Amino acid sequence: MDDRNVVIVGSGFGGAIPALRLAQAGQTVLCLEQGERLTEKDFVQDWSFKAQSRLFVTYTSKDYHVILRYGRGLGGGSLTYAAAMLRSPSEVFEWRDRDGYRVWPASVTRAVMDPFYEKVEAEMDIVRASWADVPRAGGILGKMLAAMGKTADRSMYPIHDCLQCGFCMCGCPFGRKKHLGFNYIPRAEAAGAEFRVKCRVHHLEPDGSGWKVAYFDPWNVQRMARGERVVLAASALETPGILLRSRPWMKDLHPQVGKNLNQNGDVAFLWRVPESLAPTYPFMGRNNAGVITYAFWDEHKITIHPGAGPPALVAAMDVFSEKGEPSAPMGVPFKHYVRDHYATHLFPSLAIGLVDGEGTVTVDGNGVVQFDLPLTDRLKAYIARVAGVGQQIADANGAELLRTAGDNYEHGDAHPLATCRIGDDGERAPCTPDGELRSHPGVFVSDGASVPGGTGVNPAHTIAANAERIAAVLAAK
Amino acid sequence: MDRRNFLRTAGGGSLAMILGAVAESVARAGEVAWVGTPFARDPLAGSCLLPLGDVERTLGAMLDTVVPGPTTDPEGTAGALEACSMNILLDGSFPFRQYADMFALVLDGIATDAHGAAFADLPYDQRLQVLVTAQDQLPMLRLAFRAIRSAFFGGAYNGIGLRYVGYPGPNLGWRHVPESSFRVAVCEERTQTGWMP
Repeated sequence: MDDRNVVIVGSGFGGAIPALRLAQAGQTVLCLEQGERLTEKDFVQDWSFKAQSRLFVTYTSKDYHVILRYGRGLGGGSLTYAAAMLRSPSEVFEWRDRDGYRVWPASVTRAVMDPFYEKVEAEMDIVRASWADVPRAGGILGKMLAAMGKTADRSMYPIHDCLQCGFCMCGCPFGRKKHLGFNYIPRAEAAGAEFRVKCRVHHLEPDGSGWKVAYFDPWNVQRMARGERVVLAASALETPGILLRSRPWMKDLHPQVGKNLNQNGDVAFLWRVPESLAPTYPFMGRNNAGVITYAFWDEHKITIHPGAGPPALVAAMDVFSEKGEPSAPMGVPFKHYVRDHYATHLFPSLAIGLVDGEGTVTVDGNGVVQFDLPLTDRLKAYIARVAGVGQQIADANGAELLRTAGDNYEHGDAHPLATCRIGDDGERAPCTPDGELRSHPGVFVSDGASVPGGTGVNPAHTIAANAERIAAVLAAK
Repeated sequence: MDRRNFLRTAGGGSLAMILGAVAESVARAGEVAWVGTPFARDPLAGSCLLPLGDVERTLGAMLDTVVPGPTTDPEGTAGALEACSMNILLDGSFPFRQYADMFALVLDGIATDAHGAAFADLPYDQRLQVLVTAQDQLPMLRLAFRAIRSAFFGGAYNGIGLRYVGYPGPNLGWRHVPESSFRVAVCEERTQTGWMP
C-alpha cells in the first residue's frame, strides 16, 4: 500500500494546486485522478458523445430538470472549461443567505483572497483579452449594452494567441489555452508529486492517525493508498459522493455533507438579434465570448456572459417565441427556426448571480451520486429577475429574448458548488474556514465543494484561489 | 394483460400509476457497500439503433415528432432518427433507458384517450399535441426531448444535424476572418482590470 504524507483526490484546480504547494513544502504527495492524461494532441474538435464522455462526467437531477457535469482528465475541468478567470466582487464574500447567515467565513474577504488570486494569475499567466480577441457574439452584447448607456468589460483568460476556433470546451487542440497541464501539474511533478491517472476513488477509511483511500486502479482492481492527510478535490458532486460512500467507515459524518448544492446562479438564455446586429456567427471564437457585464451587479447581483459554441448550445434550450414561431421547442417549425437563425441571428448567454444553495447531493444504494436542485420560489424569483434584465436589453435593441417553456430552469451545467462548504458555523458548514472536515480531522476539501456559495462570476478563479489559500494552511502544518 | 389491452383498459389513467412507480424508483436509497464500481459508464459509441420492436415504433414516432425526418418534414430533410438519436433512449448509460417502455406507454395512453389510436398511428399534428401534453405530465420527457434535439443539432452521433444548420465544424481558427470580431472597442468598460474591486 502506498503511504504518503498527503493523498489528493482529483487533479483539477482543487487538487493540482495543493499538489504543487505541498510538494514544494517537502511533503510526499500522491494525486489520484479518474480521467486520462491528455495533451493538445489528444483533443479533437468533436462534440460527439463519444468524444465528450472522455472529457466529462454527466449527472441528471432526480427530477430530470437539471444536468450537471464535471471535467475529468489530468487537470480536471481546466482542460475543457471556457477559461474565464475572474476575481469575485467583494460583495460575494459578504453575502448572507436567506437566514442572514454569512456564507463565507468572516476571516475570508476579498482582501484576504487577493494575494491568492495573484498567485494563480502568475502561475497560469492570465491576461486580459484584447478587443481583437472578443468574438463577434461578445461584441454584439457590448454593442447592445452601449446602446443602453451601459458597460461591458473584456474578460481575463489563461489563453494566449488564440486562433478563435470555437472548441475550447473540447480541449484546445492548439495548446493556446494554458490549462493546469501547462503549469501547476508539471511543476508539482518536478517538485516530487506523483499523479496517477485512471484511478477512481470509492471511499475513505480511518487508519490510525491517517486515512486510507480506497480506489479502483486502471485495471479495475481495488487498491488502497494511505495518507496522513487526505485532500478531496473530486468536484462538488463526487467529493460529497466519496464522503457519503464512506459512512460505514466514517461514523458521525457531518450531516451537512452533500447539502447546500449551489448552481452559482447559472441561467442560460437565448437572444435573437435584429438585422442591424446580424450575423452573430456563434461558432466563431472562444466559447466564453470575450466580455462580461457588471452593469447589473449593483442592483441585481447578476453578471452576464455571452457565449459562443455549437448548435447544441442553442437547440438544447427549451425555448419558444411569443412572437410566432417556434411556438414550441420541437417539431418542424423549431427545426427550421434553428436552421434559419442559428448562425446569423441567435447567440446564447449565461447569467451568473448570487442565490442560496438549496440543492442536495446523495448516493444511491449502489453508491452512485445523485442530486436534487429544486426549483424553489426563491429560485423562481431569481430567474424572473434574470429574465427581466434580459428583456430590458432586448427591448432597448429591438432584439427578442426567447422564452423558456414552463418553469424549466435553463441551467448552465458546469458550476456546482458548496456541497462540503467552509464556514464559521459548525452546524451549517461541514468544513472549517481552512477546509478541514469538522467531523473528521485530517480530511480536507479544497475544490468547488468547499467554496461556500455563488461566486458572482465564473467560479474557476475563486476555486483556484481558495485552493491556494487552503494549500498554504496545509503546507504550514 | 398484454400492452395493447393494458392501454385499452387503463388509457390515460395509467399515468398516475406509472408516475407513482417512477417517484418510488427515484426515491430509492440504501446502505453503501464496497462491492462494485459505482461510476457511470461511457455512452454507446456504435452505430444507429433503429426502431424495430413495438415500443421502439412508438419511440421512433416520438423522435420523428421532436425533430422530424424526411417523411414528416415537408422539405424532406433528415431528422432525429437519421441522426441516431434513438441511441439516447436505448443506451443504458443515459437515464432514459429504464423508462423507455414507460415513455411509450404514456404517449400511447394519451394518444388513445385523446385521439383513439396508438401514438405512432397519429398524423404529425396530433403527435405534436400529444408530446406537448405529455411533457407537462412527465418532466423527464422534457429532458428527453432536449437530449434528442441536442443529439441532432449537436452532432452527438453523426454530423447530419450540424450540416443541416450550416455549422462549419473543425477548423484552423477564425481569427483571420474579418467578420469574426469587431476588433475595436464597442462599449465603455467599467473596470481597469476586468474584475470588480
